[in-house]
Amino acid sequence: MKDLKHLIYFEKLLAEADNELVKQGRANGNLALGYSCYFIPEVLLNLPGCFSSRLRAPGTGSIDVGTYYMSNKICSYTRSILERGIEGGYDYLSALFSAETCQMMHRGHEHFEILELVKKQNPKFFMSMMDVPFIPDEEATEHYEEQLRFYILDRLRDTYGIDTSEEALRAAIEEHNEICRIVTEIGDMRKAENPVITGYEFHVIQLVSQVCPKNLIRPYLLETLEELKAREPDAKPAFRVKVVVVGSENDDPEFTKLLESCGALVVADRYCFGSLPGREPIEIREGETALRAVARHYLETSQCPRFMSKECGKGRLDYVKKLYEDYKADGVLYEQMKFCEYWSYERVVGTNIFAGETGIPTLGIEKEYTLVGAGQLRTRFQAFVESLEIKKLQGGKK
Amino acid sequence: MQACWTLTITKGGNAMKKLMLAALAVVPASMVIYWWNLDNKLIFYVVRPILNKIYDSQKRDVKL
Amino acid sequence: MIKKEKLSRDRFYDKTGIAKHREWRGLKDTFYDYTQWVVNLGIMGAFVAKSPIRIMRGMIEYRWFGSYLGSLHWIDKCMEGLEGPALRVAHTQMHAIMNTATNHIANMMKGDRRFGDTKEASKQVIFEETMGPEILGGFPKLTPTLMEAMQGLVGAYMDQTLPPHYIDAVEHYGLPSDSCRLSATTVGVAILDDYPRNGACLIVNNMPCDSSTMNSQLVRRRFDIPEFIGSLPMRWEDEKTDKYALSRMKKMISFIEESTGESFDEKAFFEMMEKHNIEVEDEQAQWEYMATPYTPYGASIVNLFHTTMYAFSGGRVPAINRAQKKCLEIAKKAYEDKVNCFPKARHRAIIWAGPGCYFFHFANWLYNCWGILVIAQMDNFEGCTLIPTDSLDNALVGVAKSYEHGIMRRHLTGGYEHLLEFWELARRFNCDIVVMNEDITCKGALGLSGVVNDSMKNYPEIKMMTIPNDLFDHRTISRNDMRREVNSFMTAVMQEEPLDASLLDFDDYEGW
Repeated sequence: MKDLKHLIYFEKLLAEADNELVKQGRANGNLALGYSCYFIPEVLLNLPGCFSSRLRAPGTGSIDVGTYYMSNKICSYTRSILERGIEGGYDYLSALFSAETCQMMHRGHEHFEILELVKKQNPKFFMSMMDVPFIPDEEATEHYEEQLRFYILDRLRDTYGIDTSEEALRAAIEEHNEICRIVTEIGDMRKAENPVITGYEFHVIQLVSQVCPKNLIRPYLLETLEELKAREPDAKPAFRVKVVVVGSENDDPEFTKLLESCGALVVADRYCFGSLPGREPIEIREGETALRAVARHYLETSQCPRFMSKECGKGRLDYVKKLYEDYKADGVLYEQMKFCEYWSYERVVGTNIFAGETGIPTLGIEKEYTLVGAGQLRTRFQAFVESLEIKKLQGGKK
Repeated sequence: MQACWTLTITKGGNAMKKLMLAALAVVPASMVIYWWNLDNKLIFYVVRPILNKIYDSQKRDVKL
Repeated sequence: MIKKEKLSRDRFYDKTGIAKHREWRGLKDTFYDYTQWVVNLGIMGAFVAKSPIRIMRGMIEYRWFGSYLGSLHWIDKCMEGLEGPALRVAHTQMHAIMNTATNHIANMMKGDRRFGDTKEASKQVIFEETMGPEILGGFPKLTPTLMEAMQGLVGAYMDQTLPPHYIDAVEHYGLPSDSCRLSATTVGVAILDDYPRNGACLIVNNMPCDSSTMNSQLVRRRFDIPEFIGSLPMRWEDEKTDKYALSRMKKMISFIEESTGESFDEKAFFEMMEKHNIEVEDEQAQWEYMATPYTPYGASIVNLFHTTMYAFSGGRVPAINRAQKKCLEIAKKAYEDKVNCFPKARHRAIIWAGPGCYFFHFANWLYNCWGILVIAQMDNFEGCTLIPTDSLDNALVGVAKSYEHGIMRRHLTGGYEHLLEFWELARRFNCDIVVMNEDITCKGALGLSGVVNDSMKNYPEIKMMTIPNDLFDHRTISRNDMRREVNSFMTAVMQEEPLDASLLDFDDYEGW
């Protein structure tokens, strides 16, 4: 297929947390607000005067200092973020928003306060940590809304004078929804028999939409959308099977590239930093405030394993099954960041219960933040792809 | 009547004596068990292996 | 001066750790120990008598139950090296623990549908740890049962060879071995169908942390009874979370009412909370003695007594407060008479973070080998919340707080400063050593290991040693591995000789 015009530019943007567009956003007088977790609503960090910067640590090499602080038995994403923070890689941030949703990540963010990271560059920098409920019912939504108000909106207003009014929130939602529409439209192209976009390309696109100021990346995304509408797929596709990837933190497109180099096409990205969920438009219902709509939306759409109810647990499996069907996949890959408690268990559920109940071919793997052990992963991916191919040739997916 | 009564007391007294003797025997016996740790030795070296065999041979409904 | 026979490893068989004979502590204390052994036998006899057939069936059915045959051996290990008032306090507390635990297991067996239908089952509410039974104070006809404490935590205390069976079961399904061993064991018990089939309803929760949140979701698949998610805020210091916590408590009450047909009795609830508060106050009174040189509280049992109080009582087990009061009298007398209850002590220590549960008597070994007297462990300072009794709402928030401050929860969640509280506690209790447990699967603690290390410079008068363990799995880091770490620290850093060199390095891998 013809190369996408902006792909190399997007890859360049992903090579640094403080990339060209982030610099430009700050030069335009906007605050860069960092976050990691889906439970920190991206939309609230994109109020007028701010833009969200989902934390990645691209090009991470040694994480010795992060490991000193957090030990070598903590997820390497968290250690990499801390390492990068200590190096000054996030000194462009005006604030970091966190939640005690996952033990390791929130400990990593606590270090920003303990070690006074970023503060030397910006004395007004703060790390704000909130509580998130474990079930998505009415009281939980009310609680979550209150936490969002106090720990995100009020902090922004009180420290930086950011407008957190209803109008400002609605404007942010509108801008957010526009990005969601574009990315979703691109993502839906993966449902085609012979898609015009690879999983790698989409991974890159989804990531830049999260790490760059929305108003600055939007024109490029729009152009890419138009380009894709006109793109012709390869007559003979490079992939042999289609795979849904489910799992924990995954912000490295090289992982997707590795998987696709083994003959798979990643058609659905159901992982942290992925678009499913993540790029659904936020709907403000009749009688709802914007903030309530945001709270409800993020609790309803989240597929995080920390949701404990039976309905949520079953719902996650049904969601994966639906993706498998909608995207016409041949198999499901459960990937888990090493040491991630949530996804350790969810991977057990996926590879045993989900696979057993649905008959859908499923593979579970563990990975590090950087692509160490790529050789081993490649071998497993190749074997998985071959097994899916054989199943296809034998005439049944089940 | 008196003979019966005497017999009853004697029988009761004999039973009491036997009971007291038994109780007196239990105390030193228990001390021996206590000091030489015979209770734990019996459990660890005899009872536990038997139980482990039972547990190992059980068919359990193993599932996630 | 209490005369003492020097402890020696020769008293034990190699590898199994079974004692050739019991410990000689001088005539008076040895006779006392013998009488307490008789009392323990009585407790166990009374336990069996509660429901002999079901209990025997339980022993045959459940592997974890068989491990409790090691109770007497375990008690001996927890008493090693103790004498005088310390021995008396330890036995008094142990009897309360035994009474509580045996009653608990008896109730579980009586309510176990596996052995036939039983009305008992419908009166039981199962709580996942680390939730105490306080909420059930308003349901006087209902009995709390802990879901997994007897199978996992206490089972590991009894018998180091028990948890691997369950851990292996869950790892067979792909759970990585870096995942919390406590939660892994919990799931493993479910996989092997080793939970009793009791209870009218089940309350799972997110305590203390991520892995508990996840294990609930797998364990529930074994329980065919109504379930409630007792999830409480992680950011428990934030008063803004109290409203949500209150709503969870109220929903929990409604759930229990619906599932059991019983109604919440406010009067009974407040009465129970008063008793809970007395227990907490007596615990805190104990701390005053613990800070003195004349404390009779030390080594292993103090910690377990507190966790028993938290997990099983909440005001409902009279034996707990009776034991507290008796121990306070012993402590008062020892204080007044200026008795050095731990004459071998060269150091005073606090043990912090997740312990190697398979080495429950670690504190006794520290004392006997190196003269390190463990004054308290992290658990002692968890679940010590007084519950307001001025209004129902305030009381329910208090109960929520008690749970949020529960075992492991209090110091591992809600903010990094909680984990670092051990320094001030060490000062408060006049300790010169902190023994930092490094559970290699505990993410909440590991995530701050560098900060903990860095904080040492602020407390130069207190030394800290870090002792790795694998919580429930002795195969990864054995008891002897833990001993060797201590030995290295004491020789290299403290430059000391052991009190008893025969205890330095030995093999007890195969024993209970």
